[in-house]
Amino acid sequence: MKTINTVFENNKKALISYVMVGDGGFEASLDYARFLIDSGIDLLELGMPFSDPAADGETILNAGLRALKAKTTFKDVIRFAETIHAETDMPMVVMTYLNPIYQFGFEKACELLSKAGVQGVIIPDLPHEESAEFKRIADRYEMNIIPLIALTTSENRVKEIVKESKGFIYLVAVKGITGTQRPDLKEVTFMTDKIKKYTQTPVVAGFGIRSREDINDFNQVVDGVVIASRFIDLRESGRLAEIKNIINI
Amino acid sequence: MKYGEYGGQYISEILMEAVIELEETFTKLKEDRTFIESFQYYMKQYVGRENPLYYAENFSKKCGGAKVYLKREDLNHTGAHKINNAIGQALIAKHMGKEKVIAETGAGQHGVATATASALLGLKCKVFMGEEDMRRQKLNVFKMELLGTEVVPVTSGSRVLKDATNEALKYWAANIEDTHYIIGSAIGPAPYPKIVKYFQRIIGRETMAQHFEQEGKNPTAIIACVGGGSNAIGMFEPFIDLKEVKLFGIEASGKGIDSGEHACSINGGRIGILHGTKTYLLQDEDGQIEEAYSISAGLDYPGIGPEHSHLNDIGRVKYYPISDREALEAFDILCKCEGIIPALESAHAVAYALKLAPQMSPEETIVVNLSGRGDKDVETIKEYYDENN
Repeated sequence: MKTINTVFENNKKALISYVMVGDGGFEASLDYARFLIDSGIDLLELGMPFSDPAADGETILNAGLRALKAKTTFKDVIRFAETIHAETDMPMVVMTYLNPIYQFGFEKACELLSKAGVQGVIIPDLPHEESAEFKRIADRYEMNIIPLIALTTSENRVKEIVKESKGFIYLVAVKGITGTQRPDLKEVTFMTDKIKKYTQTPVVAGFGIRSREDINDFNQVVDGVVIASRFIDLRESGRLAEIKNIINI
Repeated sequence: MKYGEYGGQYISEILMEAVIELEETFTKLKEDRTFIESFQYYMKQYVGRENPLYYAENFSKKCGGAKVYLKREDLNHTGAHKINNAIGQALIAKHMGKEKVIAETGAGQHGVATATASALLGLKCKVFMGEEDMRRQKLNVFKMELLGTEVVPVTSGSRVLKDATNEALKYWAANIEDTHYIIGSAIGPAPYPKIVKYFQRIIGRETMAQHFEQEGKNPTAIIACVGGGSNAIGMFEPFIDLKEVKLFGIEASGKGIDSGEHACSINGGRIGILHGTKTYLLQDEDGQIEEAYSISAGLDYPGIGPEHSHLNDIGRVKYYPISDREALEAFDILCKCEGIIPALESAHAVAYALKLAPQMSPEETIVVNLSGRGDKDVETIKEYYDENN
């Protein structure tokens, strides 16, 4: 199995993208994931929809509402991962808010996701201070809880957060929510330097990154970037060729 | 800070430094004499405290049994208990050097209170309100605008209170440096439930002294309605350690818990995580948040303050449901026998007094927290009667 670590080997820059499981229906969202993989992404985030996504802008919020209308549940996310895992060796992480995974049962989720080839979970409303108990459980199933750091995070907390980080660190590159303003390269550089003082774990920037130019700019500083909202918008307007272009120029 | 397993800080990393700063500021200010005095000054000279603890003799006779007292939060400036917390938190914002505040509102009461406190203290205020709630509460929208506040329509999700809370949290994340978020109920990430309780405990502390003055003892029982639970936690605060005082929190059961249209987080919900806190929530089996319903807009929030969840689990407070119909009956009785028009929220507490008092003796007393006045509800009530008669 290709691990998250191999994605970043030899200073390779990772391009990470995102599929909201069930957006457009289960099968259509699978096809979209296959398309992203074929286009050359390095790591896939699987989104579990939530009714009240506090870190997301309109694009992902609406994608989630569409997925919920299609009756997407946590079981579907597992089935989705199993399907992709059977077809490719693409490393996968699941992005979910805490309540859906908590209701499913956090331990059961870790166990089943791990079997389905998922190597990490990103939980935007689980900050470091609340994560200890969840980490203990996740460790048993070799599931990485991907820590998030914001531009507002103090150096003391950066130090604490990255201490036992595994997989990668998700740098929230804007002061705000997904898919809105473009991040500022200077601010991202400043924070990345701070993080790298305390850890070897790769740093990935996400939120507001939308073009090939952005990818090239930010990759001078970080170890990879996430593009989610922009691709969902392009998919919605039927411009898949543009997604392909952004991924593999 | 947690309440048993409840509470916590389940929020985006981007908000963490802000709640840490808030916690540090609050810890300092609650020991700061100047700050305490300025809060007390506004409570007395501006809000009109202390308000009466009124022995409702006619209503007590109607119930038959215990003597019923009403804590008259409805007589506060702006007509409800919400102003206590809004002024307190606006003062905190000033101390932190933040010039802008935001708030979420459902029915508009917390929005109006925050708009009022902002006008008073010279803060720039934005209130997030679901489009659907704006339609239902036009008058409060206009009031906020008169007070110089910008009301931001929320068009996402189901366009009600929980969506307004989401949008306020998102706006806060993007404007954390110059903006303080004034949460209106005893909900949200720590330290919010603690701060709201601190500013609302004035209700319970006044009640304790006033009841002692009139009866020479503590009340036998206290009743307060619970949505997020700020008036209730403020009323309960000084009595929680006095085991002989029975405490009742009243949830809105709307059209009945079985109908699915209710706001009973404790009596009809399950433990989960929303808006930064772990508590009882209305949700489906997959953990998707469900909409709450009550004829009283101030009670239709799909969660409840985390301390209430804990007080329920340890059995210190009993949480009972009261339906739309029961609340309206109580509303009608209180109007006609006491000449007091209660808020529909508070009418839920009054309704439970009608059930409880007859089981008690005339030597015993009940305090009902009359958390707000009903002017804002008369249109809703007229609609209800037009539809149901």
